[in-house]
Amino acid sequence: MPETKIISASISSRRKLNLKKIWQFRSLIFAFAARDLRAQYAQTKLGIVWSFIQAITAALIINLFFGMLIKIQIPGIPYMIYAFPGMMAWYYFSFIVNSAGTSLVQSQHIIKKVYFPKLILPIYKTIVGLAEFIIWFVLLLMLHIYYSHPVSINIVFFPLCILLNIITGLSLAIWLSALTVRYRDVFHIIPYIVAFGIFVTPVFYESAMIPQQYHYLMYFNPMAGVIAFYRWCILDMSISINYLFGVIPVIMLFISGLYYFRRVEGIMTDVI
Amino acid sequence: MDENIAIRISGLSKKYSISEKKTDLSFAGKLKELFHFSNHIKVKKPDYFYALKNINLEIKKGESVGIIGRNGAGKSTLLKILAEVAEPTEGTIEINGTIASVLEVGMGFHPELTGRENVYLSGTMLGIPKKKIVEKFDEIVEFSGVQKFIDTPVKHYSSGMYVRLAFSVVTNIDADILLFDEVLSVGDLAFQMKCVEKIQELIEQKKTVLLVSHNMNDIQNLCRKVVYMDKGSLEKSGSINVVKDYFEESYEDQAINVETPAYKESKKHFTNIIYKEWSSAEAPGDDSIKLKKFYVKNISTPDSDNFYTDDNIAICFEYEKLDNNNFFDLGFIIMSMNNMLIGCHTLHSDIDITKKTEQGLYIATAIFNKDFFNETIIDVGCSISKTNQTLVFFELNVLRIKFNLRIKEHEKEYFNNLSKFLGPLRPKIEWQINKYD
Repeated sequence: MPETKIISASISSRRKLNLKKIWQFRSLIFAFAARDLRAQYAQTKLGIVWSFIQAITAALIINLFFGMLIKIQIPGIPYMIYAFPGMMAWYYFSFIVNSAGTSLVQSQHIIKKVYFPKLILPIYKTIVGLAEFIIWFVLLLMLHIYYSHPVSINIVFFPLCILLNIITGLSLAIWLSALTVRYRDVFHIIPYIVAFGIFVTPVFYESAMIPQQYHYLMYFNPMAGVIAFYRWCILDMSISINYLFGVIPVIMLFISGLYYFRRVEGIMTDVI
Repeated sequence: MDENIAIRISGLSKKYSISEKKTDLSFAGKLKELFHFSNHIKVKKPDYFYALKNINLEIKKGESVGIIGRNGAGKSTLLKILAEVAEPTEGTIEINGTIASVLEVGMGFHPELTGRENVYLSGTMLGIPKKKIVEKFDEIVEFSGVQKFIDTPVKHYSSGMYVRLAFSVVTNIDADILLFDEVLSVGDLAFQMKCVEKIQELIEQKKTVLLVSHNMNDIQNLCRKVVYMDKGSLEKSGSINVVKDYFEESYEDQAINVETPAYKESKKHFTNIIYKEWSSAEAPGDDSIKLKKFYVKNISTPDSDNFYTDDNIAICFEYEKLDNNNFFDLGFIIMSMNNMLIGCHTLHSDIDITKKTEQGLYIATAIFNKDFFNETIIDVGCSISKTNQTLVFFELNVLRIKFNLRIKEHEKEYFNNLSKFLGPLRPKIEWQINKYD
């Protein structure tokens, strides 16, 4: 005898975040992710090789521009080795913001027809992005072999890096995805966030290149912290304790985003 | 909660807001509005309408309930809330058991994935554990009849295969409560019949079934209980016969509400004739023939307001011939209430028109002998065509006639025990019993 399910319009039920529901529907996260990945490579001859090609091309172009033309010098480390973890982290972050941010509008046909906790949509996109992230990681290891540059023992903290990367991306994506439901204009803002963000984050350049008096601003940029953590993890580069300030905006965005998302979820099928 | 109750809805309302359409659609106007700089632009006035108003309903386990009502009555909204796709504005719903819904067949199928992958995906979306899907997989595929193509991407499926597979997933996963929204109107006839059979099977298995349909016949075949909704309210619920009459009555009310001036005119002059007259400017036709009036007459009881199934009736065309040519034809077309074609006929197929072609006024009469229509509502349309088959004029649903049933003395006992006969026709049938050795 299954327990009685109660659907209620009372205010208290709307304020509940229903995170338990997401756990109940966890298999859906993987089903959706598998669907996206399969669909992505269906009917392509080279399949997953395309992801390698994309990653390699991006890395080569960046190396050409910043490493060889602008000649950014990092003491003791080949530029490619220095830039790669930053690119990897930023790529994953931008993927989450882009695809998770637009995930609700893109899946509106399902949202209108079948019930599931909608938060699953932005969440599953992080899994989709993770697949390509792994390709970048394989490439990273290959680069280290090519340059015969050792990987730090700190690499054991790599999963934590990924987790921080995901949470940072999601904190923004949850807000954006809920906002796009109500205001489609946000749809057009998302690419700008990603495009401009890369220049205010030490992805291609060193944080030391930012004038000292603006460093406090950088510390509040959570992606700067995440990237510094990656570099500590892979290259054992020093990391400032001040990056912990970046946790503040992430936590604030994440929790407020969950509540805003829940509020929009209630009217989602009516307005989408 | 009572163990025998599957669904209990109390005080359920659903409010939608309709924002007033803004007048200034220019880019600058939108910008101003975005930042509220201008007073000239109307600030969005929130306007509400209730898709559902204070619905109270109890559905017992194993009950099959049909939900009927006109478009916009709130039937689909009710199912959406039950399926948790939309959230209620007021009220509570208690549900005992798992729910599977077909709000739209094939929802969530991804075109690039194979049938097999989609079965798993849509099963997961319905909240079914993977183990159960594996268990039921063969059953699902067998019912759908797409075994051969189960590993083909569904984008290559015909729409029929697509629908079959999707319906099959929902009906084979062993949910306690099943919601169907207009599913019986998709797919070909063979599949529709298979669906009806499947739903019947589910009802026999003591599943709770809620079915939204415009088709009274499906509802009559499948549901023990019918709920009639109108404008967001639950107007009536009960056995089929009670609600069916109610439905038809209010359907008729609606017909009167939207009546044309000519319709009103018809009530003034001919109380027992449903009547359409065209003014000379509007008269359909061409320079050879003009249709002036089109009406239905009760021949058996000319002074009666009502049509009974055992009345002789006539469909009449009054027309004017403007020249002496004979290349014309008149026709009528009869549709049932749910827009099914019952039949059509033309003048030319019965009469040699060549004899009566000189100029002048004519009445063409098509007589239906008694005992042809059942207790039903029919819509009659008319056409003018050339004998070379080109249409000059064609309009559906010009007239609407309701037939009542006069139960004869000897039938009374019979109809008290049994429901009336179904379908739009009630021809005189001659039965015989012969001993067969």
